[in-house]
Amino acid sequence: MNYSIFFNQSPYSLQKDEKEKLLNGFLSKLTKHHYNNCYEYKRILDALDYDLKESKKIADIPFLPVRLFKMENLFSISEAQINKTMLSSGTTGQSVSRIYIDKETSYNQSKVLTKIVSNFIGSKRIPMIIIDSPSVLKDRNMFSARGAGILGFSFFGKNKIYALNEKMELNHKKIIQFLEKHENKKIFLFGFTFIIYQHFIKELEKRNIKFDLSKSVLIHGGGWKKLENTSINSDEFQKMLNQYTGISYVYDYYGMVEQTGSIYMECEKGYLHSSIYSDIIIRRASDFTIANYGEKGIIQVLSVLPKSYPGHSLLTEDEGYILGEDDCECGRFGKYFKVSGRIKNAEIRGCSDTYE
Amino acid sequence: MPLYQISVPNKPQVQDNYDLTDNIILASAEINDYEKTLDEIKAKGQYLRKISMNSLIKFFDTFTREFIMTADPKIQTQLATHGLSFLLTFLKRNNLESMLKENFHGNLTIMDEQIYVKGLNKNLIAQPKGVITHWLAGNVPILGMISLIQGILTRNVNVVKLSRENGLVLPLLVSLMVQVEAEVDGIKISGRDIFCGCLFLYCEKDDIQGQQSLSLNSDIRVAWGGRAAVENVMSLTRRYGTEDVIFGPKYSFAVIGRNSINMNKISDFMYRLALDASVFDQQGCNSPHTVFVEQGGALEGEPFAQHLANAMGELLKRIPRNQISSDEAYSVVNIRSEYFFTGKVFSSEGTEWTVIYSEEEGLADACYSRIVFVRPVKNLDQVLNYIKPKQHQTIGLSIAMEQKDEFVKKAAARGIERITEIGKMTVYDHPWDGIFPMDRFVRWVSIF
Repeated sequence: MNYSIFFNQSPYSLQKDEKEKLLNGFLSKLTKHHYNNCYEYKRILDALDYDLKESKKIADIPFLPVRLFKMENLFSISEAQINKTMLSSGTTGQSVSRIYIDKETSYNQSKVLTKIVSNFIGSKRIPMIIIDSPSVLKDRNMFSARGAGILGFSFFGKNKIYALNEKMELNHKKIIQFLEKHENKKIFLFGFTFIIYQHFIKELEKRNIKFDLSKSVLIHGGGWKKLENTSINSDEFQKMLNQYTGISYVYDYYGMVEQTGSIYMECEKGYLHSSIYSDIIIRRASDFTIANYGEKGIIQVLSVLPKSYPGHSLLTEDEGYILGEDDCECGRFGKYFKVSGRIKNAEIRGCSDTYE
Repeated sequence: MPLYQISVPNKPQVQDNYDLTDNIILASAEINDYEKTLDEIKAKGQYLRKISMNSLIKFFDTFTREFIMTADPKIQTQLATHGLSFLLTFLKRNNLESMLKENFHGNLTIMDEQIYVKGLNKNLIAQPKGVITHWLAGNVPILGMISLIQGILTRNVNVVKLSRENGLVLPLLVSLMVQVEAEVDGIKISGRDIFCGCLFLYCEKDDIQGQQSLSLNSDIRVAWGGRAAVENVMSLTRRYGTEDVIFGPKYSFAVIGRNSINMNKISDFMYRLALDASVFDQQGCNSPHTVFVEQGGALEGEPFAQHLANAMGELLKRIPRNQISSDEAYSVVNIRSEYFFTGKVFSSEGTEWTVIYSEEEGLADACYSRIVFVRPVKNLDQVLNYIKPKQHQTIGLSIAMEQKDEFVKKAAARGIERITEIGKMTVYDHPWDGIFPMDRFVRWVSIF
């Protein structure tokens, strides 16, 4: 698998036909790779009567539900090659996904993340505030989604500090000292949406603290699920951030630990973008046919990065809709879309929920 | 939070893709004084005491014939997925008469007049208990209609607390019924009069005050639904003497004995089994989720599952699937993927149906969405060990005649409530959940 073909191009430089041609070929090869190297993946494709010889379009590549990574240990490398294991976030009592990464996949993840994020904030390293606690990174062999995100985005920062202490409390003094040292400089802030709201914004509001971060840029991700019970939405989040920090360059991103690296960044127009390293397909619930633009359905994500595990075509637990392709006003090529939210884990609705 | 009264439209109206769930609040009006509203309904409900059982039966029977001839095709289509044909069969004269006889100890007209009962050497007459409040479930709304019809036949005042999901199915059905008139002995019986003693309402499930108000004004509380839903109703305060009729969560399964299949009629057999697993998209408490196949027969293992899969595909043409939500679709994909490793999966290309063969023991978790698990058993006694009282309702049974009596005796002793032939699992019949519901809806008066 030759990844240099991707690394030599800008992440949003290919239009529909060129991108399809590139991804069709590459993802078909990746499918064969996993078929030949992952017994469980082979069983699935055999059960689906999937014909590896036929040339396929990306929409024909079978998808695995992301939940499968919580139930099975899936990898396409020898156990000796496992360099690190990444864990999805999960609430207490929930099982978590285990994603097995080798050195090559890890390298490619960092490379792609760098290419994508640089397109938004530039490639120069700048002072960085991580809105989280350093305790997230305690075990370097077992990364949580939060830990992986922090490590990945840390590449863009220098003189890094954590805004929260081990107890997830605001490091007020430390931030003041940091801002004095880097006065009038652009600062890069990174964190997970829920953590930023719960432990940073709310704390600033509670203690009526204001920082001047007007020249800074914030990237946040991880989704809005944990904020469902609050009245907070994207607009309100940005408004509060602006009120207490003056920050106006705020980018959300959509991504998951099962496809680390090839994230979908939100552009200046407020839309999430697929890059040349990934693609998105919206599936109808009834028959999994491809939904039209504007039609809400289940999000399938494809990524060229998962080589050490068969995660290159996944059915997510999110719903969303595509707004268009190659014609976003921000000027970037590729599909642009919105995530509507998590698939509602509806109460079991049948009469047979007695079985224990 | 208020109680909302859901009005029954004067004329049945359905637009294309009209949502019978999300529009429930739009179709409602706040009730300011529930007790006053209920008093008005009680007064109107007196009408039912003035007409004979024969008139009521004639009315519902007339509806079944008129509906097929006159109902708007759009409405027929919309209701088809909610078990319309099932309801129409239920309302036929023969069915109602036999059901009433079963419930009333053989005396069809015992609510009209006192009847001498020889064994007791006295007369008996049955009287309505008063106000029945039906808490309905959204999964199979037609069962709510059947609950209501039984409340009407027993001449009670009926308060129907609709579920949010599919909540407008019943008002739509009733809007069709109120158009009907039947003539018995020269007297016209109108649907509008028959349903004037019914109140349809909605309240949020966390509206404790509203729910409490319904409970305190009930003589009988009928609760349909999952465990949380029925436990919630049972936990509400009730008056002294108020009774509960609970149709809570139940699990059903099929059992296929080794010498019970006639291979010459295998297609027909599988079609009937597929029918049981497809009606109401498997959301009924009488829908099978696991099929146990005794080893050593003419057809077992994967070939059995393959035959069943073919029949599921055939059934889909006759009973199309209801709209499937994203979470249901995701669960289907997930369970299929899981069993790619540990079993053999047969399925439609979309999410319509799935048959999973695996050699696991025990009952599979109910996944709904027409997902059937086929599992081998060494002998039928193994299945008996899985039965739990109050949890398992129906066994669809195919068994050699010489084994039947012994098996059903043991299954009944273990706690099963209903044993049917294959293909009849999803028929609503009596007793249901171990009781005769209409017997519970009346008060028996003995007269010297």
